[in-house]
Amino acid sequence: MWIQNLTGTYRVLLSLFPRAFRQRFGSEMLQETRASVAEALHDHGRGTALRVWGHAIVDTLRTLAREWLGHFSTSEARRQANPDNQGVFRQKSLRPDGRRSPARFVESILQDLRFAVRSLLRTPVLTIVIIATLALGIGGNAAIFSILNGVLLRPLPYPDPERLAVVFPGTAVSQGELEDFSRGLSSGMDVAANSGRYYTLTGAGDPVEFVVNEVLPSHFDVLGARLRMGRPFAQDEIEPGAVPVVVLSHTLWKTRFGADPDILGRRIELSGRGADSRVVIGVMSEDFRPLRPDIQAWVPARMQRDSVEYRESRFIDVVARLHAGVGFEQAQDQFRACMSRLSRESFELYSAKEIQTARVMPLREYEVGSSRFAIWSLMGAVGLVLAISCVNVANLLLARGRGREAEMAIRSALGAGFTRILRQMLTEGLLLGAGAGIVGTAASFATESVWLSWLPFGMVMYSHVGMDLTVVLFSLGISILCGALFAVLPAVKAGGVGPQGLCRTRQNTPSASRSRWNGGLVAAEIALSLVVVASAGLLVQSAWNLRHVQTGFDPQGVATLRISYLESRFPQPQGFFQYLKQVRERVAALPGVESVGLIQRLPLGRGNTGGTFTIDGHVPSPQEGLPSANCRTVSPGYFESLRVPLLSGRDFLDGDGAGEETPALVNRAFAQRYWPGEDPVGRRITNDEGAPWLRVIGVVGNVRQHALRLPTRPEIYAPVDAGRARSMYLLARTSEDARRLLEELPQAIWSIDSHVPLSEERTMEEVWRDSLSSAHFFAALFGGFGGLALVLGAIGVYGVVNFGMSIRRREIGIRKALGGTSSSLLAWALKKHLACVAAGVTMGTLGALAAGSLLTSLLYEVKARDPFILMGAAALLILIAFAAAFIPARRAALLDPRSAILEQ
Amino acid sequence: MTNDAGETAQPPLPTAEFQILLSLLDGAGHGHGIKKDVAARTRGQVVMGPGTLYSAIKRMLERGMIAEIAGQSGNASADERRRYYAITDHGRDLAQAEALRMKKLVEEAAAKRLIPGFSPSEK
Repeated sequence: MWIQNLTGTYRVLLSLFPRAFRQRFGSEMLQETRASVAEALHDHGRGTALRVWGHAIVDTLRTLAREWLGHFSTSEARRQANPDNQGVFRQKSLRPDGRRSPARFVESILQDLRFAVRSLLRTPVLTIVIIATLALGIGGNAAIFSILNGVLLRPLPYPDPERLAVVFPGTAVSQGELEDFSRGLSSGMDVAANSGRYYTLTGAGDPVEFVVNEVLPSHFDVLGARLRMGRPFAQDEIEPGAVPVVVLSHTLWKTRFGADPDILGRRIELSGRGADSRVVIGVMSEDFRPLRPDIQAWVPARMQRDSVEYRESRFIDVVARLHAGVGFEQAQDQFRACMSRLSRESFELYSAKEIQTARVMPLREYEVGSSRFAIWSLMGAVGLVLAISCVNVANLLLARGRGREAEMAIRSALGAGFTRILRQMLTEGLLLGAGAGIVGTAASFATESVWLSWLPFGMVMYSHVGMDLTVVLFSLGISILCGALFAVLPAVKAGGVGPQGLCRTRQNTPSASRSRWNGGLVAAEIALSLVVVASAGLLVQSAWNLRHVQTGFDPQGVATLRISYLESRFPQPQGFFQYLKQVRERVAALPGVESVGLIQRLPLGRGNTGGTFTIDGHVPSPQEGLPSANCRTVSPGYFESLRVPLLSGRDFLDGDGAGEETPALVNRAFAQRYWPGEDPVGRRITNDEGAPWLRVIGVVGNVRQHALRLPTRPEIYAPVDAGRARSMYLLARTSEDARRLLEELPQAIWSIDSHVPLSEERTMEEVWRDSLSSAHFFAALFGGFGGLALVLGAIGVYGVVNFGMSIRRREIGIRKALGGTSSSLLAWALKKHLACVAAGVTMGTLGALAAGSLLTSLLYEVKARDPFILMGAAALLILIAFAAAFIPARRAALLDPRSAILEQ
Repeated sequence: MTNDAGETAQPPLPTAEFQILLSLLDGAGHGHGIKKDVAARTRGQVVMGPGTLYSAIKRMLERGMIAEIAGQSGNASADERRRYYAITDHGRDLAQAEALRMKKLVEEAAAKRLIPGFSPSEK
């Protein structure tokens, strides 16, 4: 597989060789390389193969340079032998037949190249500054584009990925619906199920819990998965009563079963969903990418046709492969028709609205979701930074162009046409662009692992982010584009000079059009920088706000981990509850531990439980809808451990759930929403019709349950022994280091029962920080781009003003000689600058407003049109623009008038 | 390139070219085979990358040191696209000249007692 990729890369490399060489030896070299790599892989493994490959690439690159050099030197020799030898200056006028031979053309390009290299080397500092400026922009673009490419563009790693779809009726579906859809949609697509569930593996190293994918037998066909060994699931294996089977992931097979070649047919202790052990019938191939990266095994979904769960429990995502020739529109129509048919057949299964909004969408769209926008916004920001770099470089080249005006005039007087000069400038620009592109791309390639580690979890989850050929081609493309763009600008200016320019340069007076150009560039730089800086301000403010959100708990000094319920170990809930109590006591006895508690789901963690409930004595009107709240079970000590305040009533005590009436706590949001101005203590609620009533015994403070961004929802806390939970999170507050406590926890817990899987060991501070990671990522990147934009903008403005002043030396000298004071001249110089700054700030403000409204979905508690941030950014830019202008303006104002007038 | 003054004026052969010639002295071979033979004979000291190998082959073809011969294997299907190269008499002369040049070099070094246990008189 990867040899194929390498071959592709090598082909690209080969295509760069001179044609004769390529045609004669290209395929042989490719074969040779492939054979060497394949042999090394076969004989010594992947590491050596990669080294051989690297050696081949380096060697080929060296040969590439040598072959071209040889190529040029022969054509050069031929040229010198040619009697009608032509120079840069008179190429056009001396062409006798008026036609260009290809050799001539190549030769003149080479001449341009040599000339460009020489002229760039004459001003090495300027060249380095230009390359560094551009490299920053191009490197940033390469990095962000590689994210965009990995998440949004690169095809999903399945065969014919464009036909993979998600059938989405608005929520996850039940087993019953899955089978209905599977039958109803069979003419347009093959339907597969996708749901993940935690299973526990024991008897193969430490007990471990991981996500197992419960699927229909069609799953492997739909995704085009190949097994390394064994067979896929048979149709009857989803029926109740079938022998429980499992397909292992390649990783699991290797790490837990030592890559046992005789694993097929073995029974392993994998428990979950009513089976304690399963027979291994297959191992997935190594390169198969599961729908979620944490999936470690596949089991057939067990259809529970007699259970209420069959229709009620909605937890399955429907993945499908559209048949060839079926489009998404068509599939969607078919799906909606299928839903209406089902609705007609069995009592209003779906509302008309549900049917109208039901969708069949490409798998990627479903996976990527909201990241799409965020990534494009980053691309926009980094694109702006590149635009600023380009303006800067255009500026610098323009300034240099002035120094070369005489050169251009002489050339033009000697007969060089406009196109010839244009081509010369273009060559220089392309050379600079290529240099910067190589430096920038190499830099972002070298730092890849650093910035990849900043990616928020959601973005890496479904993607294969990283540098590849597309990214390199992209960088190459933008480098060439930039090079061409900023080279043409000065060329157009210089090209207009003509022989008469010889006289004009002597006069040393700025033309009106040149001032306009410079002013325009200053305005453009300020405008672009302002957009980036203001956007950065909004995102940094959002991250700041999120960081200071009152979470409602104190994460410092709290360690947490997940304890999973082993059905085989604790068949009776009582046993499990007893066990949890023991765990609490054991952990509480550890040195330094102040309090211990358990909760079903962590605050700020993933997942949620909850639903509608009924308040005793309250019948909701149809308009207000059923009351709904989150519900979690907690043990005594939980609120104490997280320092969540008890506002009224009392906390849970051991054995609370075993009494006749189950007590419950509600949070403040609940009390305010459903019993405003009343005392909730003593009121009764129930989760479900027919379920026992819960008696409210107290009110606790609000906690951010899901994400810092989301407001606290009403919540009911039930005692841990009142309900059944598959797993619980343990929280222990220590007066010492929470990280150290985390290392001691497993022994303490395993000393009671060594077969219980523990996972997600983290400190609560880490949980909190993770929930900030995405906001921090955007704030950091935009902040970085904003800083870059400011620096580049300042350099640019300085350059332009400096240039503007330097070509007005005579004028300034005369003004001074006529009695202008230094301060009046400084004011004059800055005033000239003022109009450009004002124009830039105006344009930038409009741009920033537009950018802000695009960013709305990434913002938290800050308005896209926040006047303070906008004004702050504008003020910052005005300040920097004047500071950057002040230095050259002051220098000009202090000029000695005599020397300035007598110059040249 | 041609020089009437004889082989003494021949500049030293590049390592890659000399090694390729040495390989082909045992009979014709294709690119990958030559590379493997050289690597084996030099115990991995000389490993030619594809670029080095084929630019050397190109130069040697141009100078008539080697020549391409028709594919010799019977099972043409697999090796059809492989090209086989054989040493020419000119190539053989050059290789010999190079070897003699090296021998002379070694003898000079030995005369200066650079090589323990080897003196030119023994040879």
